[in-house]
Amino acid sequence: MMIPVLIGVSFVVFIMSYFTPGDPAVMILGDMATQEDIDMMHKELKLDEPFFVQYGNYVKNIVTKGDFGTSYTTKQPVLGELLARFPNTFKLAGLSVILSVIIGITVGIISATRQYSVLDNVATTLSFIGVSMPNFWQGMMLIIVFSVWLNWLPPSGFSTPLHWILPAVTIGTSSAAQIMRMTRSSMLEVIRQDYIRTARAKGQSERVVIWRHALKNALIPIITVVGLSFGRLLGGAVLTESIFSIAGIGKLMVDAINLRNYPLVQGGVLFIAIVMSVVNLVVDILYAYADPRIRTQFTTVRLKDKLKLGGVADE
Amino acid sequence: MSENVIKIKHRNASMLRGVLIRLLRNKAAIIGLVIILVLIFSAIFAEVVSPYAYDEQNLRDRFLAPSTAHIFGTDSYGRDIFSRIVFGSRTSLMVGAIAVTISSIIGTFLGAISGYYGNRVDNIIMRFIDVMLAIPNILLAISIAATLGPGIVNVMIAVGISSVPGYARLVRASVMSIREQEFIEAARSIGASDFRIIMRHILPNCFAPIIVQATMSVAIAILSAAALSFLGLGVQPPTPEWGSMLSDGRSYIRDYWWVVTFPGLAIMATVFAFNLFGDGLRDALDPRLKQ
Repeated sequence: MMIPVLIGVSFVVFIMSYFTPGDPAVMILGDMATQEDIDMMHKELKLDEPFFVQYGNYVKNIVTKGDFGTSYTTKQPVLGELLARFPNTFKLAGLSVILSVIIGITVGIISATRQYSVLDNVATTLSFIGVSMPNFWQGMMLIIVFSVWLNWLPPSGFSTPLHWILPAVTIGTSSAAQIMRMTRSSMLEVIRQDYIRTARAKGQSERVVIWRHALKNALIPIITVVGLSFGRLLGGAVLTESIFSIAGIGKLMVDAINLRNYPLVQGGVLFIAIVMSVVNLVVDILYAYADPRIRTQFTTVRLKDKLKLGGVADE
Repeated sequence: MSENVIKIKHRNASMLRGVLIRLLRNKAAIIGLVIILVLIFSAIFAEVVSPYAYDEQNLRDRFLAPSTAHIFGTDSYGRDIFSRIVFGSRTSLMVGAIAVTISSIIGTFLGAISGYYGNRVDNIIMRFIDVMLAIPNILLAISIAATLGPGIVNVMIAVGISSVPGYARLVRASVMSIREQEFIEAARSIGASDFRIIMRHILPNCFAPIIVQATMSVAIAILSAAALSFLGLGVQPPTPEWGSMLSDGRSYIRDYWWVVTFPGLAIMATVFAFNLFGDGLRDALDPRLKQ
């Protein structure tokens, strides 16, 4: 499933780079270049070939050489620059996921077990506010409060754990809100099931009933949301990183947008799409781990998928 | 025959009334609706509501703190922030509305075809949707906007296209569930064309989820548009836009908190309102969901 999607993504990214205004040769050589130089560069970059040949070259370069293109500004391979920045982005996204899962699931369970209580209402309202805030604005507000006014936390950089707090909170809260809402509704459904009543009836402590019997069965939709929010986190990281001046992929891409350095922007999009599909794969594996029914289905589903893909390839 | 029509009309009316009653009972939805109406009102009558012109510069009055003369303070050019927010609501609401129109039309079209015809057509469209979903929404919007170049129309297109997958999936799912029902079989047996079946019989029955999704997507569209403008890919100055106001004020957050606080609050309130209203609408249209 992953590979055809990635081929599709590469095609979309290629179309976008193909139609991006501005001649790459001029961008690389600078405004002073003569027409001859530009023509030479076109030959060198194979820009004079037909559209599909160019796309073929593009995919071939990515697969065989890991060549995502060349940055206009630094003249370095895009992939190298992305990989150099990736650890920071990954750390940021990872921290935010952990944070949002902890907050989201805990608050979601509390809300679900005390449905319509004051606590539940407050949490639900907060979750609405959480998804309604633009990430980058929330980051600026946190800087104003915690760095400028209170002077507790550094406003920029990503070097020490103290630096991690504000960015991770910024990105984590909106997905925490989503995870919370999903946990709440999923738990509400599960809590009414017979087996929960059975567990209570046999005298099981409330804590074990909720955390073992109920949560385990409510987990599938929660995993889905966590997986989806990882994508949102990577997207949100783009703006948040630039707010907190974190040297990650996001800031690299934002800077590239401002400099009209399109190969880097498009390479970044493709790179993040690849990371996302790896995450989706992990999520699919987690499903099987969380739900034994899926585990037994898994072989047949894969077979079906294969047959379907065969159908598409015939087109 | 005419009696039947009247009966059906009557039932429709009472269904609509039921939805309205449920909606009006939902306090959160009403709060959302009131905020949305206030925003629309201030967008239409921006000239009347705002005390200053949005581009009225007064360099002597730079960075004035919120006071009675400038309730949200002034920015780096001495422009009244409140007035700019009021005028900015025009841009944001318009971008939200048009982007959602674009995405709902394309998404409904793709989803309806995909769900109705199934098999190969479905497969191709859904793989295409998978490709779009593999790129995080905001990144897709950013790269489309970067390709098209800055400008308000391009922002609408970028935001609109990037939220097509959600619609397509939603419409496809509802079309697939309706397709198998008997009245569709009846329509087909009297020789109705596919186009007519989709337009007259299937889509009206998917109306509820589509309208809910549309309301929620306005919220997302406004957020995405603000993000694009923040990156400089959106509306160009001096047109006031909440996202670009944030990006203008960004360099001054150390000394002048109000420059970025209020435009952000405006975005938040708008998005919050659409989310609340959309949520209430969903509960009202489908009472089974809320027990």
